[in-house]
Amino acid sequence: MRISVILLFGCFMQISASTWAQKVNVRDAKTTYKELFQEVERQTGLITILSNDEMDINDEIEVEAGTVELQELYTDILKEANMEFRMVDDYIVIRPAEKPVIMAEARDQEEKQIIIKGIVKDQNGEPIPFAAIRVKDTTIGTVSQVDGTYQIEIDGEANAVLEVSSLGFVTQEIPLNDRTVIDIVLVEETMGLNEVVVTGYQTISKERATGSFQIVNADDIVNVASVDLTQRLEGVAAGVKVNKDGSIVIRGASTLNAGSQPLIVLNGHPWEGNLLEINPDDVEQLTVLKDAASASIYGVRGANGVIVITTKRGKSDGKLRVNYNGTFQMAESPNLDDLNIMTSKEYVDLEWDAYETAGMTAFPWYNYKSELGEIYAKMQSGSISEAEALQMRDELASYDNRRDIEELFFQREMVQKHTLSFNYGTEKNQFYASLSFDENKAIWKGTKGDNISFNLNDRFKYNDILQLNLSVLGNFRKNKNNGQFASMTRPYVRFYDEEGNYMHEANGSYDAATVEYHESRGLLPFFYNQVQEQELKDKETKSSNISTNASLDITPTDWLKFTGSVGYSVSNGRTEDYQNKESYKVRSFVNRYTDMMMNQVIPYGNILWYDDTKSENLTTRLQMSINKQINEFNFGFNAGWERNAFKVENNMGNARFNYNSQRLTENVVNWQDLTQGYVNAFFGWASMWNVPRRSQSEDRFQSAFFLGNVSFKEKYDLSASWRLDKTNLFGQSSEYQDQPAWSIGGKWHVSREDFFNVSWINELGFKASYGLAGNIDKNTSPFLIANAGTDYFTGEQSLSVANPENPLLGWEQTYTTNIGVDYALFNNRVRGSIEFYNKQTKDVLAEVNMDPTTGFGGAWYDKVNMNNGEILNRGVDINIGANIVRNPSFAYDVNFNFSYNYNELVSVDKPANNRTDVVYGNPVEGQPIDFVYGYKNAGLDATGEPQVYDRDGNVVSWRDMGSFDIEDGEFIGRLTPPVYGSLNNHFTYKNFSADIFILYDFGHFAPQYNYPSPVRTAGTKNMINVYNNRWRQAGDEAHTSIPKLDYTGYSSQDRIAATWNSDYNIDNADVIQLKSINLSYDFTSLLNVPAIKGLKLKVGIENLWHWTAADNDRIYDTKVSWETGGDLYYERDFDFPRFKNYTVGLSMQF
Amino acid sequence: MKTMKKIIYAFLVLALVSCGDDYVTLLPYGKTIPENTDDLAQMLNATNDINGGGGNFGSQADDIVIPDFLLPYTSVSGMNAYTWQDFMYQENEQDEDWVTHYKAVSRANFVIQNIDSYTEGSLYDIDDTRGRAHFIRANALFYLVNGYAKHYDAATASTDLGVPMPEAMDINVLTPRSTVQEVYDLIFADLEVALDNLPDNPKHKTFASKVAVHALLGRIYLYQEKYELSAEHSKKSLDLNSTLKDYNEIEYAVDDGDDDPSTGNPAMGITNFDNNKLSNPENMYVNEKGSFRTELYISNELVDLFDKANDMRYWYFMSDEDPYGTPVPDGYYIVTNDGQQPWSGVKTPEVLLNYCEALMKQTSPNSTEAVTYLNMLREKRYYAATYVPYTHVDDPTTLAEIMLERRKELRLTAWRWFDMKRLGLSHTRVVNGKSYTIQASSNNYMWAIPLNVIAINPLEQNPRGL
Repeated sequence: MRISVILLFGCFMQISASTWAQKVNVRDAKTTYKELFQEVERQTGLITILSNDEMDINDEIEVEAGTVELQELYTDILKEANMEFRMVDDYIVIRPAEKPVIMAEARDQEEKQIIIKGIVKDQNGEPIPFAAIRVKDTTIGTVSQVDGTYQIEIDGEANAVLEVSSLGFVTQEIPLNDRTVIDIVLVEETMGLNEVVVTGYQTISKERATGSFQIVNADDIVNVASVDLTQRLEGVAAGVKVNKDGSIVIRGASTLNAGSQPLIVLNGHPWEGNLLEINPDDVEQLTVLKDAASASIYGVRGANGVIVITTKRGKSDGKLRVNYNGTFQMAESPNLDDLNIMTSKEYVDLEWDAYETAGMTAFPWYNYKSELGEIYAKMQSGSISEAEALQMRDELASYDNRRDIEELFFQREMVQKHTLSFNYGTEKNQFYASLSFDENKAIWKGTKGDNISFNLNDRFKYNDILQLNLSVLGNFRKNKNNGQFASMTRPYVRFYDEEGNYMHEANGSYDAATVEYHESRGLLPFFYNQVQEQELKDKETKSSNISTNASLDITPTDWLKFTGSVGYSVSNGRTEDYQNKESYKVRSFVNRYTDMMMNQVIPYGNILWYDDTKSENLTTRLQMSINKQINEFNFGFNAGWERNAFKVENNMGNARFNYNSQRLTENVVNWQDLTQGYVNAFFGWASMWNVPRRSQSEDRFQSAFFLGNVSFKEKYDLSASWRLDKTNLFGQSSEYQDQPAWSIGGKWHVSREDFFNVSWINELGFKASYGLAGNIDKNTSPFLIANAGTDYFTGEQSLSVANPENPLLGWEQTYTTNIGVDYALFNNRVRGSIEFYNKQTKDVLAEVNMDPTTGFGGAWYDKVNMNNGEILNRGVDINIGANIVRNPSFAYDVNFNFSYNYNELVSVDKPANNRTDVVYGNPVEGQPIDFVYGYKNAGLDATGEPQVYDRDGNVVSWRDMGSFDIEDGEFIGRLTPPVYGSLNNHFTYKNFSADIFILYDFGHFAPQYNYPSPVRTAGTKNMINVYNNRWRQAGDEAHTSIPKLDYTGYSSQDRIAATWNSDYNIDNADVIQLKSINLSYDFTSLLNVPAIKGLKLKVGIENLWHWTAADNDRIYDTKVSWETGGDLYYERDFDFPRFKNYTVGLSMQF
Repeated sequence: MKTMKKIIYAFLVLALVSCGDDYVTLLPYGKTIPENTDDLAQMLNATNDINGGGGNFGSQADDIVIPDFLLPYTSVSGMNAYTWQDFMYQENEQDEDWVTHYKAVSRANFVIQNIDSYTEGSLYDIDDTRGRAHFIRANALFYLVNGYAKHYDAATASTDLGVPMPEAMDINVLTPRSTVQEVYDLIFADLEVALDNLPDNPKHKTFASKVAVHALLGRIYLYQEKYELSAEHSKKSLDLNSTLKDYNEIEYAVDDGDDDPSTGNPAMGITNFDNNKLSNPENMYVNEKGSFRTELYISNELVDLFDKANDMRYWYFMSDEDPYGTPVPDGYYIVTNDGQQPWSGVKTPEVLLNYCEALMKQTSPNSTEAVTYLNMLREKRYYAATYVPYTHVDDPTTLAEIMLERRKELRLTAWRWFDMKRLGLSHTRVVNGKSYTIQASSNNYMWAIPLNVIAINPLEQNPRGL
């Protein structure tokens, strides 16, 4: 057999290293070089490389059986062959003993020989020793010297191509083009061949994986300044959309209400916690599994995709590494002007306008009160003159509290974070530990969070057969949030009088006069001041989360492995809300439960409310893996069995009355009194007290799975997976418990075919997969399921129906087809993938409005979960990683992600059946599930009321919209962007590097403003200043579309729809964001202190700039949504735009 | 190699063996799949599901007024109800009366369907549970058929469209409308079973009992103008329980400083009156969960019917001042204390008045008995110091007095609306200067089948128009 210059035995994955002192056990005395090298590799993980073909590795040799030191052994066997060896990282490189430069094998014919020489360097200009240089498609080659120089003698073929490779660098091909001196710069491999796809069930090389996935390495997420992992995920992978609220959607939403969050798998086991709890500094690799071939193995939980996270492990080179990472982040100060709210003057003007038109005397005693309303009422009753009233009004308007609110309630967001990590390892034991502390302040004054987190990872190789892996990670959090309750108030409200005393803020139905009246009747005062409230409460949340994983690998032979693993995580949380007796909350509760004779049912004193939450997750898994090479086939086979239990236990609403936090004394109350409801002269029926309540749930899954893959000649890969899940969620019958998930996939490495000969394509592979994954809604069942409780009225045990019998109910099934191309072009300078997917979700579970005659439905809370229709997601994910400039001192890399998603509700059995349902976003056949529906605006009529066009183009007043059908409005587009992605630019110049990260979203629409219905809010909260342009008098309709004030307490939904859903308010929400700029400088080489192996300073800015197509500049980041809910039509309080964030970071290695 | 094979097989066998189902048969906590008759009884104990009440339509009756100054604060559906529009609710709004009564019907159906096949529990009497289920269904259907169909007319009942009458809990079935006669037939059949199985008096006032069954039968026969049967059942109910609350025990919570017992502001509270539906001794079957109407104004027409000097209902349950002592604008009265909560259940005074009315309307009127019972009520409602019992003059006068007392006693309840429909009254309202009249013959005495029902279940709509 002819040997190529470089031989790599075994697979690339098993890379580990050792020290020279390492011992090797030689069994057979008579062997060949090849077998011996393979044996060494199996035992030590060290790969033996030959630098030329002067030696036939099939030559037989004789060695002494027994345990010998590696160095000894190699010295021994190579002496004969007149070769020597060296250790380079995890390689043993063998080369002829004498000559530094090796001539290729002598040729029979005397031909013109050319000597090519040069130097091999990395991007930083450092020489690369032991780089392999080979003439392509020949056996001629050499290895570079320690100083990086090389020299090679070749046949005089003008079209010869040099192939230069070195571990950790991208292999390069360089045509000679008649040159004789060629300096070669190798580029570090960031998406190299030796990357692996970790699915949690198997680890497979990236190139052999047939499914759709995207790997995000530690380096990629470290480049983003943000301190939390969710933020860092934004834009790093094609097809992955991180929403404003931190939720993640992979390849479009494929479910209506079963939840579209992907499954998170941490170190092989499902992670039920929040992504925020994982320290990004500990993350080694993050793999997003997008299609069936990748995710089906997670069965019922993998339908929305899977994010697999592995944390860092120790290296086995016997060196101790210590890393420190410190980050300090500060945001700009909250500015109320960003909220587009009214000034005091504007607001007083609006409120007065409302009273003048509505007539204040008519305001009943239980209605909202405000300072201005009080003045108006006095004027109406004649107790003050109009002139006095106007003077008082103007006095109110002369003060504007917005600056005071910023001062009293807000602070800059600030985060500091320190992570210290150690890693040390030998061949036998590899260890990684980290400890991190972070402190953060949210925008609310009085909020502060501390978090300590740790991570321990240990891999212990007991012997050839047994290996133990352990990982423990956890965090302890403490959050104080005293401030987070302030509500937006009228801009003229004063918090302090001139002497610095608290002033009453009219609140609900309590103006100054009614507060006084209640006090005179013997009730506690209803005096209310937000600043005071902040001081009278003490609210704290504490939590601890610990997650442990242990697994044992048993490897009886080199092709068989058994793994038993246990993952257990537990999290405990407690929220304590201590309210001083002086607080408004306590006073108003006591008042509410005061009877006609002024008896207080609740003892008047401090109250401590507390909630306890606990969750536990236990996974056990047994798995068998077979990996065998038979001839040119490589077989992989995994089978196993798994159990998972997720328990949640909450004890909510506990309260201690008249609580003394120092003496720990309290009074006992009679819950029965509080639960029966109470009639009070002032408040009517006092709301029923929320008694302490416990909730508990345990979701269990039991699964069997199988994974198989076969590879032929490393050109063709086939894979298949199958998994059966049983769960307790769907009730008792096995008919509903079983849900098989499966997939098949294949890949063809075209570029490895003999006929393939395109010099600029280094790698080309086609892949395809198809499979099924399921989804369930844990709140539903085909059986009648009842919630047990104690009836509040009678005290009897009661069962109320949570879910009616529905024998037709089944699982939600998602069938995914994925077709893709993996490519590497132009000497691997451009790499990436293009993938097309088709995701069809059948029997989509949805909350359906039933005919209420059945006893269900009719109201939103009475909807029934049913299989209701089919959703299609179809799209393209493109990833391009390009190394645009490659130069010893300067490099420029680009990573570009592009995603297009088409989403459609293909069919729906129970569609929205009227236009109001459509306005509310209920499913409509043929539309995306997040469609935006609106009316064509026809301006205002002569009285300032909004009008729209109907389908025939007639102008219709909102009052006549009752006759409208769905067709009278139009489907404008989607709320979420169909096109989105990112562009990351990475520059390095000598020690300096820069990252510019750009996100883009295109093709979606959003309402610009949530129009409140004014009168209910007039006198309560400040409002958006678009109302300054409202219609006031005849003729205004010529230049404004903002209707006149609505005086009715219950604004008609049609009037709101004619305003809010009018196309002038719905805008194209295309946006390009300059998400972050990060700069870093590596001081290591300047410092020249041997003890410090790395010193890097980073500076970053986030949310620096954006462009949007919409008129409302804030459209891209307000939490405007179309969901129906309590505050649908109200601008949410203090919904600030994303703040600019400044980060300074330092990382050091020792 | 052979050993390896053995190990592999052993692993696979082990994996298969350990795949038992026990692990996943755990039932979610806090939830249960009903399996015995105790569970069925407990389904009927859920006040929220079963005793959802109705009475939203009380606001259509002539007791209530929405003063002009309150119109801007009235919801669109509230305005529609107040002016007897063809449709009270839009397609996307729920008709709470329909929803709550059919909710009760579906739970009752589930119990009736399964009570014979489920294993018998030990906590609740199986017959009692059966009786309760049948009563619940009858009670709900009676309300529904009176609300959404023509008033019972023996001549046309078998062709008049009634309401859907689902007899099983099945969300996948759309039930068509039955005829009025069919609905009444099921009501009577249900009440017969209820009567056979229920105890005389209930354990809780949200549970059915013979008192309630007889009271309901007395009411139904009254509506059907079968007065002898009505009187018979009302009497049976009163024989079991005829407790009345003496309003002479009530006092104003806040002394107004003078000696006149009839003056004071009840909006500031009264004492010795138990508003709690379960402990109010006059309540026999409570069909309402707690909800409260604070913004309720009484029509001056109703207020003027009361003897202001002597009727304690006027003293304690309506006020021309708010809780702060400020006069209610435009001389209106607000409802205080009793009456603030909607009512469509069974109460002793109603049974008593049903009895009196039936006695006077039966073929041979019994005025002696009627006056005796009428005075039983009056004695508890008028100020004791000045109380004068009613004395019989002639039959029409006595009947008129009974009907007047009925109007006052059943004020602000759903029954006043059904009385208007049954007695063929018309009423006119002026809203913002525009006049609306509901005629005795008006189609809108029948409520519209809710549009959100028709959108899914194509039921024939009632004819509309005032």
